[in-house]
Amino acid sequence: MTSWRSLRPSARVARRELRRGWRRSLLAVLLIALPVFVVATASVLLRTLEVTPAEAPERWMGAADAVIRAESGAFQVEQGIDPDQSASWSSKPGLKPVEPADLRRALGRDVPLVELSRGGVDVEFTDGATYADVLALDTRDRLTAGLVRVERGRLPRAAGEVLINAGLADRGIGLGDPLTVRSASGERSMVRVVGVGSPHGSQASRMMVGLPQTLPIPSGSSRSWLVGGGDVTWDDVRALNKIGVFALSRAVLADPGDAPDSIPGSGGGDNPVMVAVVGMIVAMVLLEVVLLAGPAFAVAARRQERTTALMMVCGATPRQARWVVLAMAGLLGVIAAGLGVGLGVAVGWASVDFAARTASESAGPLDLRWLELGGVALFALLSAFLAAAVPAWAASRRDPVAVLGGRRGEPQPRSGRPIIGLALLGFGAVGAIGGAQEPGGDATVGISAVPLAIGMLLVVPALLGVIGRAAGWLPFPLRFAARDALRNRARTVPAVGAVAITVMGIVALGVGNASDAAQERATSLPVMDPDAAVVSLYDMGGGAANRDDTWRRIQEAVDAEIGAGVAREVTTVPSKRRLRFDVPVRRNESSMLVYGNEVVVADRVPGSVWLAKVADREAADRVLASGGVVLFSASRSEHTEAVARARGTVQPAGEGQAKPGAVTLGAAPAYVARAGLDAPAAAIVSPALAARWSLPTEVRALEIPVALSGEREQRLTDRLYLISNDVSVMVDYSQDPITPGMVQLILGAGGGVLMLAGTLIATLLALSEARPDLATLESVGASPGVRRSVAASYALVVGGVGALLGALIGLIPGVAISFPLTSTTWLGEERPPGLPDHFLEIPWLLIGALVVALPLITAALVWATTRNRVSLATRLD
Amino acid sequence: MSGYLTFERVTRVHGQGAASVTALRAASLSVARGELVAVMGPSGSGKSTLLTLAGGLDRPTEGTVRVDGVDLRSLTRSGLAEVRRTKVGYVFQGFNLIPSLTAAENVALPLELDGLGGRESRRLAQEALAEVGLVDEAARFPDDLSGGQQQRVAIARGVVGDRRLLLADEPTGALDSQTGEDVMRLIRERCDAGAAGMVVTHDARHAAWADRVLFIRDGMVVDESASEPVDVLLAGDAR
Repeated sequence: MTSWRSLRPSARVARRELRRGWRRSLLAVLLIALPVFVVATASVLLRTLEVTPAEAPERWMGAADAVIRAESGAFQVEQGIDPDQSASWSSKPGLKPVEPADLRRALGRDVPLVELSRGGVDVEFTDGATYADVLALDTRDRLTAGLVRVERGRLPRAAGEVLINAGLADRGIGLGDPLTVRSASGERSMVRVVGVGSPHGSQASRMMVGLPQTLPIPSGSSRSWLVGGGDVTWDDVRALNKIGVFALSRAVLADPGDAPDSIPGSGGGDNPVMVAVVGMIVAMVLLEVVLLAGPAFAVAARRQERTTALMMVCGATPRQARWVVLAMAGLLGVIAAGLGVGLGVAVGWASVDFAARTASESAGPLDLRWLELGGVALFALLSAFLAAAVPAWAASRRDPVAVLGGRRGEPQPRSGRPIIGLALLGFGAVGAIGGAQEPGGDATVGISAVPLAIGMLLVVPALLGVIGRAAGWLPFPLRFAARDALRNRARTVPAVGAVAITVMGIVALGVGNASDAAQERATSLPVMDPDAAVVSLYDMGGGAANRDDTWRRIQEAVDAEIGAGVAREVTTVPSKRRLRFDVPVRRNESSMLVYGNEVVVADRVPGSVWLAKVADREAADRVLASGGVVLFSASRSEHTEAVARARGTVQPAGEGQAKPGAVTLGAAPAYVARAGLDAPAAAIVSPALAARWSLPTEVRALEIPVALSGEREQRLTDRLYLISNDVSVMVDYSQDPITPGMVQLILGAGGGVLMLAGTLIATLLALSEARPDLATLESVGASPGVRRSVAASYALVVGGVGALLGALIGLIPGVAISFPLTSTTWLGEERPPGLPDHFLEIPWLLIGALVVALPLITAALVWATTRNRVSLATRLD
Repeated sequence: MSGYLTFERVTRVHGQGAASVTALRAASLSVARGELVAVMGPSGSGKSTLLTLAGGLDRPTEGTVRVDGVDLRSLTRSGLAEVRRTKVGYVFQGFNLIPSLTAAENVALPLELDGLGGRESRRLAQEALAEVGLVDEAARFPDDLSGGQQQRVAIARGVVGDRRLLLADEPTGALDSQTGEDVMRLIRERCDAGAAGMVVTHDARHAAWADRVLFIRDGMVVDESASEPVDVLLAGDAR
């Protein structure tokens, strides 16, 4: 066995060769360091922004010694140090609520307690009103110091003073402004804003803090207190647990002693599926980095083949020869790890303030998790070693005599590899098919991607062999590139593999996403025209006169915001009237129960109502013109296309199907159109039918045929909320979020960058190695453009072969995952009529862009940036 | 005198079937310590194959190659590497020094690969360099040395430590005639000091430094003769 001391010459040679080929070394370092940098930065930022009770107890308990929480009916409480992270309890309704006296008794001493009450109020300001969460506590008590972050002004000191958060301040409310708060019971009181800020960790969009007498909140199912009067020990915590109370103690945080971090069976452990998925993502990233950095090591090993051969002539064992490349990988890995982690920590630390401002939260102390950062550094080292493993092995297998004699001396790849690769591909495909057939099999499909990816990599050399041998009919530059790729498999295989892995992932995700979107399109429909809004007033009690007055004020407010005459009145059936429509379908009868205010009375479908097709609207209008009714269904129902007859019934109070006492209204022509659930109208009854059925009507809705900006919608909502909290403003944003096209674009762009990187690296390295060949070409009269054409052909071979292979293999997990993602038969319910078993959509545009467009673009880029002139070949090392 | 290097009916065939080429046919020879043997023959006759087999860089198809009594065919790749580290020194036409190592480090390479400590390796390397007259150049890199100096460093590396078999493949091919003579003189001195030497050369003047000359043609040793002493040849030149 070779001693470690005997590896010193290998390490020395590696170190000096790294300096000699510093550009190549830099490339490998950057490729490895980049993901390390990203992860290290994220680790520093997330850990620093994630403030734990141990780091900043004041955010949880102010200046108190503990914060305790009593849940209604809780008993048999067990907890870890932080009950929010780990706790278990049982619950029994009707248990006597915990009172302060119980707490003092459990602690065995008289301690000061400050109650924290949470609830909500309506807040009225000059231009409108809105709902806000409320924290009521005595901010004058020293125990509360530090609990609430004050950005401007001060904390409330007296009754009638409040502190508001930025969400309320954005409504134009400033320091000193008077506000009216309306409690749940309807009581109004005046308050004055004395500060802007928020309790630490509050996620509420609108929040208000005041003294209990300012913001009276009825006792809910959960009560909290701050506890003073000295350390609350772990024994005290256990005593509080015994009376059904959870406690977070400053003393226990500072010195946990025997207190456990977590208790068994409290949940919160790592989800094994999530661990598997994260592990798979890490493995795939590792593979990607290894494949991108691999060619650099392959070329480095090739450049040193003479040195390695010479060492072998001088008696180096194969292991010592391998160590020349592996020591290089070790050094580069250490440099990349240091650089990535160092820069990550520096950039993370420098961006903490910015990130905290963006998240509207103050960060904790710089939190460097050395175990995590060490793991990330290890990732760099592992990537480097794995990237160098194959080139190192190849270096030790070269025939030194052949190398020193100026021949290649490269060992032939083992013929068994394609077979192993094909076997792994088969194994992965079977796994994917198995995953596709089981409910919730998406994790199985995801895991099957690993053997598929490895199998794909193992067949790349054989594929290059086939292409290289079949390249005889290709034009010279392509033939040269294909043959060179075959001849230099050590360098080409990782590059083609990197492109293939990237494309495989993108195609799999793309198919899954497109199929998911297809299901979304078929099952979730928009509810409204995106360029319209609907204002409705619900009848929540109160006299008719009051409602008329409220409605008049609503109309005025809408006119003031939108402009007079823009909004159109919509006639509806009063909301207390419950109608039922029975529509015959092919197999049975479909019933639709609608509430009065969902029934619009109109002779045409209002413009705000979204319909899937123009034909739908025309058919619906025809039915309304003939005195019928238009109904809406979210599913692709069998009667969508047909004009049927509906039987109308007025339902008595109560839910469900027709009951005794229902009054049959009669039958009418009906058209069932597709629309999303929660559409502003569930039925449109023609005025003639409403008159025939003697349906009462009223105007309690307005259609606004204008696209409202988010800001304008909020202003209108605030204005109307000031008038009544029974009013709603409907705007449909369902068509706004990231669309499948956008996701495909993001996938394509991300994949394009990786593909471009892989292809360019391989092309540059190939060109650098092919310098003597290109010089030979020039010497025999090749035109100056031949270098460019050859370079572009390299890019085309690497990018094209990788993309094609990746796309083909990526279809396997992509198609497979569409089953568990979109199957409509696994929902535990009968499949809605008209829906297929599952949805499969292949994003041909994305695949075409990856397989055809991107390799061509890359080739064009390489062609445009390659020098025509060929310098004379010099010695390799 | 028993041979330090012996070939017993050694045959080496490259390739298989119709594409096979016999590089060496049933060659038998012996080189004793203190003896320098020159190998001559036309290009492609099998001279270099003889050398690579002697150094354990290749394995015979048939027959036995022994170095210091050890049958090389019985050794693993690591075992062969050990033989090269401890018993065999190579000198090539193209100098073949590792450009990223200094002259001393190049010379110390086999010792360090064998696990010898850095200080001891350096001391032995300095001694070997002193013997070839390059002790002042120990810290210089190969690119800073002349061709002759590089070849002397290669010879120093070939004999450093206890290695007793010096194999040289056209060691003077890239040198001018005077420097070539100096290199041959050096090899002769090493053999006189107890090493067994085998030199492949095209040049009869350089072969004259040897005790014997082997002639190879088409893979067969066709003749073996004592060489004419070099001083006689040189005297003839002078006349």
